[in-house]
Amino acid sequence: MDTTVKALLAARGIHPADGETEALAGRWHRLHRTAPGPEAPCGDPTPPILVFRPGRQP
Amino acid sequence: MTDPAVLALSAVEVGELIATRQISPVELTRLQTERARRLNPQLHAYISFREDRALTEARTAEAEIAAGHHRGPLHGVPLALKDSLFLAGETTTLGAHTHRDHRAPHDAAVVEKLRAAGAVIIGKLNMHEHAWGVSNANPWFGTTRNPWDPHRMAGGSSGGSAAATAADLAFATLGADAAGSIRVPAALCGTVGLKPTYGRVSTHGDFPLAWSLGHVGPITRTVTDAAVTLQAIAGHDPRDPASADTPVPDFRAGLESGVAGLVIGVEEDFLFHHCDDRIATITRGIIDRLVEHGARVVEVDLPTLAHSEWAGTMTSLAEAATVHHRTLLDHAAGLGADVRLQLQLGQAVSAVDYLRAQQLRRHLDREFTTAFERVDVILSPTVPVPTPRAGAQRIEVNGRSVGLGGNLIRYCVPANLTGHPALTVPAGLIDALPVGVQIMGRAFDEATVLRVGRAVESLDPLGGRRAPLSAG
Repeated sequence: MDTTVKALLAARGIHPADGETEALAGRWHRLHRTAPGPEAPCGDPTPPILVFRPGRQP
Repeated sequence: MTDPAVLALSAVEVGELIATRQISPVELTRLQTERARRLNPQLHAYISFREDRALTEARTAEAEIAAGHHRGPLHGVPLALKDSLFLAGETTTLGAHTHRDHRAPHDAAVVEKLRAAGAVIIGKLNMHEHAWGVSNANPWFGTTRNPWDPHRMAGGSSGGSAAATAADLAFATLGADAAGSIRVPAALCGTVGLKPTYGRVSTHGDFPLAWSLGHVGPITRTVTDAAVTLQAIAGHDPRDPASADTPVPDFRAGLESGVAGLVIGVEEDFLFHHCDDRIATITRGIIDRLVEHGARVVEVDLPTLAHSEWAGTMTSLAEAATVHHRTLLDHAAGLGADVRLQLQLGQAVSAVDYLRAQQLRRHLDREFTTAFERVDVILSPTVPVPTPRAGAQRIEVNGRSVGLGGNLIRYCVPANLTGHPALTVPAGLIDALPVGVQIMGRAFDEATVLRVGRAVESLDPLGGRRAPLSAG
C-alpha cells in the first residue's frame, strides 16, 4: 500500500517525505477498512449533485 | 465612562443599549478591542484586529442612530469573523502561512449583510489552518485556548470564533462548518453554534474547505443572538450556486413558544454510540426535561448514519484536495504537517470513492427527510467526548483510548452530508467544562431548531456559570 499511495501521488507531481508516506498509508488503510460493504445502500445510480445540465450550470 | 461589565451582555442586550443611546458604539468598540487585544496572547482567538476601520464603522453607526436611522438589533454591535471570510482589500489568511498576505478581492456576502445591518467588525479570528482540522492547533497563529480552561482545546476549525464569543472578546462571531467546525468549538467553549440549512446563508466570499459540505453560521452567547445573527445574514444570493431562493422567516417570532406539542426524535444506534456515559446522561436528562415541558419522544431509524464518517471523509478529502491543488503542488513546505498530509491523502481518493460517497449522502438525506415526517427535531450530544487537553492526539471514551479528530466530529458530520440545520446549545458541565446538545431539524426549518434550543437554554443547564476567562 505504501508504494501504491506513493505511486498515485507521484503521478500527480506530489512527493511526500518518507515519514509522511508511512502516515499516509496508515490513514489510507484505516479509511478503506471502514469503506461501505456491498450491503450498504446505493440510492440512485447518479447523485443529482453531479448531474450535468447543458446551458443551466450555475 | 462605560462599565466594562457591558462586554458580558448578549448582542441583543447591548444592541438595545446602543439603540436607546445609553452606550456609544464608539466607546464600546474601543472597550471591546482593548479587552480582545489584552486576552489574545493567552487565548490566540484573533489573527488580526482592524481597530481604525472598526472605529470608523462605529462612528457611522453612532451618527445614524443619532439621526434616527436605526438599522436593527446589530446596529453598532462589535462582531468578529473567522479568517476564511473575505473583507474587501483586507488580509484573509485562512489561518495559513501560504495565505498570510492574501488580500480579499471583495466582501463576503455575509459581510455585505452585516454591514447593511450596521454591525461593527473588529477583527478576524483564528482557525485551524485552511479549516482542515478540529484542534485549532495552528502552527502559524498559535493554538486557540479554551476560555473555560486554557489547558483545554477550544475545538475547531472555527475555534477562534467560539473562544472569542465565550471570553467576551466579541458580542457574536461568524464561523464556517464543513464537518462540525461551528458546532464542535461552540460546544467545547460553552456557546451556541448554528449551522444553517445548506443554501440558507450564502457562502460567496468564504474561502471553501469542501464546497458541497460548507456552511457559514453564527456562534453566539445566546440562542436569541443566534436567531438575530442568522436573520441578518440569511437570504438568496445568485453568486452562490448552492444558495436557495427560499423565503426567510422571522427567526425570533416563535423563539419563546416552548416545546409543548413538539416531537423529539432520538436515534440510538449511531448518535449515542461510543459516547462518554456522562455526556449521554446529560443529553438524556435534557430530553427528559423537555418531555416534562410537553414534548414527546419518538425513536427514529437512520441506518445509513453508519457510513456517514466514511462519506464525509471521502467528500471532504477530495474537495479540499481540489480546492488546494495548486497550493499543495507549489507550496507544500509552507503547510502545517497535518494539513499537508490531509491534502496529499485527498489526491489519492478515487472517483469511485467520491461518487459512492455522494450516493450515500442522497440515501442519508432521504432517511432524514422520512424521519422528519414523524418528528420535529432530532436531539443528540454534539460531541461524544469531554473537552480534550490542548495538544491531545487521542482521547478516552469510557476508559477506551480513541483517535481525536473523527470522534470529535462524528455526530456533526451527518448534517453536513445532508445539509439539514443543526444547532448546539450548552447542556451541562463535566469537570467544570461545558457539554453541548445538538438539535437537528427539517431543511429550512431553523425556526423550530432555534425554538427547541431556546427551550434548552431556558432550563439553565450551566446554572448561570460562564467561562472563567469571560468578563461576566
